[in-house]
Amino acid sequence: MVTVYYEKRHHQGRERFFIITTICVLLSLAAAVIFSYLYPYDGLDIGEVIPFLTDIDGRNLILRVIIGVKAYFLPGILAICISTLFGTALGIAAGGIWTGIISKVLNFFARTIMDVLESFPKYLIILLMITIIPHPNFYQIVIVLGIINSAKLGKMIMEKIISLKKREFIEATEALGIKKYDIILRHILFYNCSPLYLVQASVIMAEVILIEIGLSYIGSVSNWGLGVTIREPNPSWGNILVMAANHFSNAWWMSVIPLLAVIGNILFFYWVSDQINKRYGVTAQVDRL
Amino acid sequence: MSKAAGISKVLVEEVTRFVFVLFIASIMVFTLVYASPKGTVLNKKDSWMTQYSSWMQKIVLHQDMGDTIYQEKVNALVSSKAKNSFFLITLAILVSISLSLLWVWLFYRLEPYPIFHGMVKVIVYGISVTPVFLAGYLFILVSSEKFHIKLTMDMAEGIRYYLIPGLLLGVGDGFLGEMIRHIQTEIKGITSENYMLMAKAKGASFWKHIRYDLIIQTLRIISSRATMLISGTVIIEIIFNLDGIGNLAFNAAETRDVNLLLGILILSVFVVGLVNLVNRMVAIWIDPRLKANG
Repeated sequence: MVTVYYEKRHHQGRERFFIITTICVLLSLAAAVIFSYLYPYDGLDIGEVIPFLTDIDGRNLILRVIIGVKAYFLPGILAICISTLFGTALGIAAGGIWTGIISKVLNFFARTIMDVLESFPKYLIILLMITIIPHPNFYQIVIVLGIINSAKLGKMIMEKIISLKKREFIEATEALGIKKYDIILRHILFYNCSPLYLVQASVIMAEVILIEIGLSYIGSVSNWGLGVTIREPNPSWGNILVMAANHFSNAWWMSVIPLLAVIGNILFFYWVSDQINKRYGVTAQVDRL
Repeated sequence: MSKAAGISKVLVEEVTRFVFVLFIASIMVFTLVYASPKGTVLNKKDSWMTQYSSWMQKIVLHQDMGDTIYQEKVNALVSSKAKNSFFLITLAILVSISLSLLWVWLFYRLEPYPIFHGMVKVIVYGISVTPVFLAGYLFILVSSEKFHIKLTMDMAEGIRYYLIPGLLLGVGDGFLGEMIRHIQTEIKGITSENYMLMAKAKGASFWKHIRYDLIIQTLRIISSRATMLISGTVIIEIIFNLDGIGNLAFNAAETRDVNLLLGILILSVFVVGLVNLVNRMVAIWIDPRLKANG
């Protein structure tokens, strides 16, 4: 009895810790985003080099890291929206909740499209997009990223619909005469798939950060303008890290602050996704697809 | 129905699915290129249908993906580079699986000490999400400046030269973290099965009962992470100047060689599809019950 009581208290404590930490980090992220859009920064505050505080041109490193948040934040949100939209459509089409020949054809095509999207290596398709778009920018790239990532969400929603459509409460709603789209939107997507969306959103956000850094690097080594991310003097975590990496041997500390920001952010998104997984058992579904 | 007959039926289904996926992928990438304003390969005079059918005809009947801007055959060039990338990816998979298993072993050992366990977890995940180009720069700097190790392009040194890129590909950009999560979930899933609990209670060998499941899960992990690894080769091969498809894709993008990029992309989709096919067939061969689950 006592053990059960302590376990319950321990569980409640962890639950509270998760909620408070998530709210605090999200609030500080929101503050950083608002600050980055409101602060008039031109990236030309060149001055004296101070270890741990400035970059190689003497610009305020911490300020640049904070303003660098906007390089990934809105693109990340866009990728999440695109992925949610396409993933939901694909998942519903592949879930086969309707009957009839059109539904079966749709089902087959949706599954195939998800298989196709999953087999595209991301950097290769991004390079193709950079090549064929006249003046590519990072927003166009994240649209592609969102579409490719929609396959995973689509498969999760498909599995959820397949497992739920035979449950009693869905049969009951059908017997009550509730319309199919209402069953899908309210009873399946809203009440049962919310954790899937949260997991997908946090994973995509982490991925957009890494892709932005990777593309900044590709842009820096390219001789023919493959750079699609924010360019100097405006800061992004990618170009701050690329610049710092070039001066690693004489100013290693320049990499530390942006690297900590990157690792901290990505770990936070992974942690949120893990916590939601633990509570709702999403991982088991994701990895078994 | 005998096991072989059942397998051959599934094989036909899976091959049909594989061909259909390739077909849809080819339509998607071709349409993307056709719709773009920069049609360096495709001219807008002919219709989409005419150009697509002639492109597909060349690929299917003559295994010809066209020429690069330097008048080399795309398929010959891509297949010559693919073996280096294959070697790199194989190394990355081995590194990643070994490190993940080591972590899972450590995870169970450290479970009684939650603070220490949490710290190790943060360090491992932190290393895993370090941007791969920065880790690559660091490795090159440390190996050349501190230890005076000369990184040569000589393939005769093979494994020595590919070891660091393989390690980075298997660890960086969040790959190790994903792998650890996947393996941990699978091992937890297997060990909580009733037959495993019964085997444990009877004192039977753990590995004897787990070996088939382990093969299926390992193949599943490799097939689900194949795209991520092929994608990861781009950055790794640029950093270490390796002569693989990642570097080739980068150079193709630099020279705006759309034909070569299309070839690389179609070949990658083909390889990923093939890996998925092999994974499904081996899994069904080992455990025919998986057929029913799709």
